[in-house]
Amino acid sequence: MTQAWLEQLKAELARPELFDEGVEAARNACVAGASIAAAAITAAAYYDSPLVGIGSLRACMSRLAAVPCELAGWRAALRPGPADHGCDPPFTPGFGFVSLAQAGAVLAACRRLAAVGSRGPASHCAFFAQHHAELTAVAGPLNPSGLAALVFVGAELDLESAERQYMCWKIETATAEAQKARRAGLAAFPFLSDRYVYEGTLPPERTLDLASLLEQAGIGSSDD
Amino acid sequence: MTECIAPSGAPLIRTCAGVARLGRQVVVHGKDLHHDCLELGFVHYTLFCVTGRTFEAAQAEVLEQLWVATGYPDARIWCNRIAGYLGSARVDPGLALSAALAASNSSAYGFGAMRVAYQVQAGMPQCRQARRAWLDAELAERRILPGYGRPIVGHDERIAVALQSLVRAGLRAGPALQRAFWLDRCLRAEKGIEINIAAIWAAIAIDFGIQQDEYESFMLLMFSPGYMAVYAEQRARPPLSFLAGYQSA
Repeated sequence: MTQAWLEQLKAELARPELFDEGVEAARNACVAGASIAAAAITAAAYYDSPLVGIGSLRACMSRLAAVPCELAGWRAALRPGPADHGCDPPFTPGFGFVSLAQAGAVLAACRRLAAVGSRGPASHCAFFAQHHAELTAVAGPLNPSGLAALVFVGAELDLESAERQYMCWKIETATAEAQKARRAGLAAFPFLSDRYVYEGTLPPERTLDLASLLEQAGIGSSDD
Repeated sequence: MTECIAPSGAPLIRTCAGVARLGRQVVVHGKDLHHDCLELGFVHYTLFCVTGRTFEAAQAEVLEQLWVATGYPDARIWCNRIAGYLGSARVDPGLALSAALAASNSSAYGFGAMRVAYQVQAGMPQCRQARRAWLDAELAERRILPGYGRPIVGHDERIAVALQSLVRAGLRAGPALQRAFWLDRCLRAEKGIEINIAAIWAAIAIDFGIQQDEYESFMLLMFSPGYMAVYAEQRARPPLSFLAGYQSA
């Protein structure tokens, strides 16, 4: 896999229209002044996700690794399967969990990557772009981890190199955004007070008598 | 007693913190974990692990309640929000806790703020006159005094709760806590700024004889119930539904 290919895929994955909740989580990590280590740890954790991270990437690559570029084979390989991380509905690794707009952006990126050539890394992107309607109907919309999987499988990159590459790129993008959030500061970061709905039981408010507690603790109320 | 299990010439770890003699006995700072430490409770045991010292039962009770009183399960709080995102993305809880913990190492809240709040409390002169001169100098240089003031809202609802814990445990404010409230009175009068819980925690720790490095290591897990409440809830909701599509920038 050439460096130019890597750079192009990296650039596609770093596009702002593909910023996801991992980027937003990393912003949260640094906005109150933490080191970018906090953003890196947060991003690393987020992109370990079995739905949109390296879990998804690896599973998608494994499914497509031995499948020739032939529609029936891809349809079978991309059929949703049970989630092994809990009781979530079946899904196809590398697909789903994107908004309509992001799905469009991922498909556009796939087409740009396919346009680079017809062999190697481009081949799987080209095949997916050609059959995206049929494959989306089976698996849902391609997501960024699936896009990366197409390129990595086309390039015959091994799983360990692929997950390392994907994780490092995602951390780089997320930490850069986290630094921007930290520069802007807490005052510029929405606390979402007006977008928070507590739906549980609300016990009656009880207040403590601070003045009395101060007195009982032996804390004076004047400077004498 | 020294127990050396490394072959000659191999790298050695030298420690007094403890040893797990698997299948036989676990020793922590000279105590038998399974026979001498179970009555301590988790918070006191954590403090014992960090410091190598046990504390009075009343002090341990206060510290336990300080921890419980700040485990806020509100998903808006930045570190909790991270836990929410990670639960929603089905990230393993260990990684989620690590990320929320790392984010809490912030300067505006959390461990960074707690570190400097401790330094303020520890650095405040004991003599009233010298303390007043110190404060005048701080204010003249327009320095921020961590432990006073609070983002989002000015008043900290944990102050009265912490005092209640102290009183219920039969304790009275020590000299550091007295100084902390002296500074509160000054800043309220002169700047309209109130004390926040970081100053109270630090002052109580100082009064209990907990050093700064001990304090920083000991307090690390106090917010974790809040993280994990948010994580667990979002882990149970539909995948990737937490603030789906939301971008603050």
